[in-house]
Amino acid sequence: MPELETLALAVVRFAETIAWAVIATGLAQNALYLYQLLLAARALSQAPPVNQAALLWRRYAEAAPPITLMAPAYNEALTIVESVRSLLALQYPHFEVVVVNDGSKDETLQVLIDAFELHPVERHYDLAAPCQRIRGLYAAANQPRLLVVDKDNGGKADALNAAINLSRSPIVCSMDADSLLEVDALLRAVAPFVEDPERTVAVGGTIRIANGCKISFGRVVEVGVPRNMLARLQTIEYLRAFLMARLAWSRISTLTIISGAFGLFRRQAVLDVGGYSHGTVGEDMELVVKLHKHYRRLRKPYRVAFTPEPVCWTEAPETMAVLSRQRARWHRGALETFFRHRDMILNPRYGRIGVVGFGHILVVDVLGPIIEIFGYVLIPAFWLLGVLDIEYLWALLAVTFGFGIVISVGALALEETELRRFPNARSLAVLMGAAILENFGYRQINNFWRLRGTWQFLTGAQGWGKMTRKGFSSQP
Amino acid sequence: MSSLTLIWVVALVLIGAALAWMTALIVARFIKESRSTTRSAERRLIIQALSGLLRGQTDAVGALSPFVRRPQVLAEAILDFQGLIRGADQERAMVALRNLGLIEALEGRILDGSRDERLTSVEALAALGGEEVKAALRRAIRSKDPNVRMAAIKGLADAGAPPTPSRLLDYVGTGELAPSRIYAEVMRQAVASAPLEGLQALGRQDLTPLMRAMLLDALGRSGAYEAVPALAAAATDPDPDVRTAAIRGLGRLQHPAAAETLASALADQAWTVRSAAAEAVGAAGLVRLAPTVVPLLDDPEWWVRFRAGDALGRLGKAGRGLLEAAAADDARPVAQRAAERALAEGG
Repeated sequence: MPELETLALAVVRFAETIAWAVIATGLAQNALYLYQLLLAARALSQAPPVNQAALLWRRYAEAAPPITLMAPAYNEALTIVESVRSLLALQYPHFEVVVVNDGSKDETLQVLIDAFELHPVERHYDLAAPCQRIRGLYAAANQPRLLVVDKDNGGKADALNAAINLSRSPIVCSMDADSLLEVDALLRAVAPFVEDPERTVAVGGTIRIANGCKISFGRVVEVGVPRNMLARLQTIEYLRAFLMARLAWSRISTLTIISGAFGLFRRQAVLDVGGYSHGTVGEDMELVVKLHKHYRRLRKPYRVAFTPEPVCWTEAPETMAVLSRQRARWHRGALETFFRHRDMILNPRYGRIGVVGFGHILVVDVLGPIIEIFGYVLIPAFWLLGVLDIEYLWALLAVTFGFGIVISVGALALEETELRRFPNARSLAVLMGAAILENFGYRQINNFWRLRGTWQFLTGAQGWGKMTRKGFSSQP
Repeated sequence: MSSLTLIWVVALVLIGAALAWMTALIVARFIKESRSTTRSAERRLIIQALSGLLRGQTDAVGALSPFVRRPQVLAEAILDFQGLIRGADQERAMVALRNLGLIEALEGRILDGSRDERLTSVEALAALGGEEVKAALRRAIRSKDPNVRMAAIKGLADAGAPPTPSRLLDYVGTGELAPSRIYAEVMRQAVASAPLEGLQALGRQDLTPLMRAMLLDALGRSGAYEAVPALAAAATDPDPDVRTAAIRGLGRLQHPAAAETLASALADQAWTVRSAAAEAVGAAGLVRLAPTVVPLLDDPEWWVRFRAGDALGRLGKAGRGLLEAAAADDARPVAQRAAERALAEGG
């Protein structure tokens, strides 16, 4: 039976190839994370964060450029007044808040009018960035920093474009209506625009999980650790994503995303690339990629910076159903941007952003989940068929988990060494437990969700899915 | 050692290292928590002593003196406290601190402290004021840390002793300072205190367009009318950013002698210059230039249309009359809309 032997040999070789490919991908990803960890540690040690808000004011207030905060709102009648009040109370010398009522079906506009005694006003503006029809503008003499824009519904990107059109500040700040900003968020994030005004076109900030924190009047007044395990795991995940990955990539000029929850942009630069793109769920990443592309093509020096200090807090999903929808959507958004700008992939014309930035997305986001899932399915199957050496498999798996734990703990260590925002040693111990635990199950299930995002992208699924939030009022 | 054993060793070392790291962090946090409590208590004591000093308590200086050996805590407390008081009270507190020998202690931290400590120390030093401090700040300019250098120069400028404009330009030329917005602020202070030297510096051949624009901006803000001819000359510079800065400067000086230059700038190729010129005409109240602003109401660039409408609104009856005429002119829909909005926004 030589044919059968040949077939068996081929199966064994195939199984080994798959196993090695999965292990190699895992190790490559971990090596990449380790590199990011080192880059982030270096960045933090060279520019340690300023803990005192008064010092920030002293250093930057005189030279701080005016900023427009752009707050899109859709059916936010219950929370919008508190959100706007907290925005108006930010510590920054020159800013205005432009709230865009994006065709809400509830009483969002009316509650704003009533709460702030607004009345219709005229303001000269240009439709430089495409947006739906603007129905009216509202302001009040006793709230000179506030402008409310009422417009036809068009989605978040459309609402942000409307706010950019209305803005007269050189810097605009994009955010979500439910983002909780630190009182000195603008002062912290504006630093790159003050220190390097010629080159800086965008600045991202660290987003943290608000679950478990004490919240009062739209502000996090006491940092805490989430009680919900899923939110706790996301706390570590956010530390890895922001404090490690984004800080590291900004350090080598390859940052391709600034979270939609908080980001500062040079207004003219956003207009030069046509504003936010419609028809994508990843408009935040899309904008940053467009900026890179624009400046690389012009061969003009530019900088997309990142501030490691927490500037914004957001509510994390606490159920698997909601989290899975969120992650699938994020992944779909990343893929949409990746393939929309596929000409940049590994293209030396775009320098590091094409080779490192897009190369990283290709390996980690596009291929990574697929290969890993292949591995999770095929390797046990091959083992059951008796074609893989289980001893080596366990050993290599242990190395992969070991790396994963080092990286998760490393991200937490960066936070503890440079920022120290968690309240006490106990909370640190709890989070360290989560840092270990996230490697056993959470990361793997995340890959399934991302794979679902890939499927949605391939099948052209649209929409955001139902995003259910508990709301901050019920926080301890 | 077999390859299998080696892989297991690597895995166990990684996991062991992570666990050790975690444990070390938790232990360090316990220690830091107790230190942080001590530090907060020290800062409270310093603030209490400084408040006592202002109330004339005789033992206040004695309460402060042990902290001279802890200059970092003292520096942080000074920066907190300084924001709360002004005038004679502030000076009294700072004199007492100077007499304690704090200048020397803070200078030591500028040399030996961590990056954060160096910066806080130089800022606290600047807060102390006095001639001795100025000398210490001048020495701090030689620091290897660019942030300390900038803070020292800013401290000198705030104390009314900025470097000369030419010296400031040198710092950027040699790469000792970056042309940040803080630097631009210091340049404004330097030129305001020595406008003639600022004018002389404008003649330097080594200035990049960015530095020339910064200097022109500072001259415009200085209020020195001697700068008008130089700004007018710079309004024909080949670089649009330089021309824009020159026109903005003329707008700030609001001198009638700039009228011809502004009239020419209204027709400049660069929209930033046209926009700045329209704004300057409005700010200077040059009513006779109002008719030359009107064509800008249908400029292809929105900012120019907006500034033109705004400028006409500021030019009294004549400007408002021209706006009303443009608003009624159906033949020029773009100008009509700009004029309508300017009239509505102007109230």
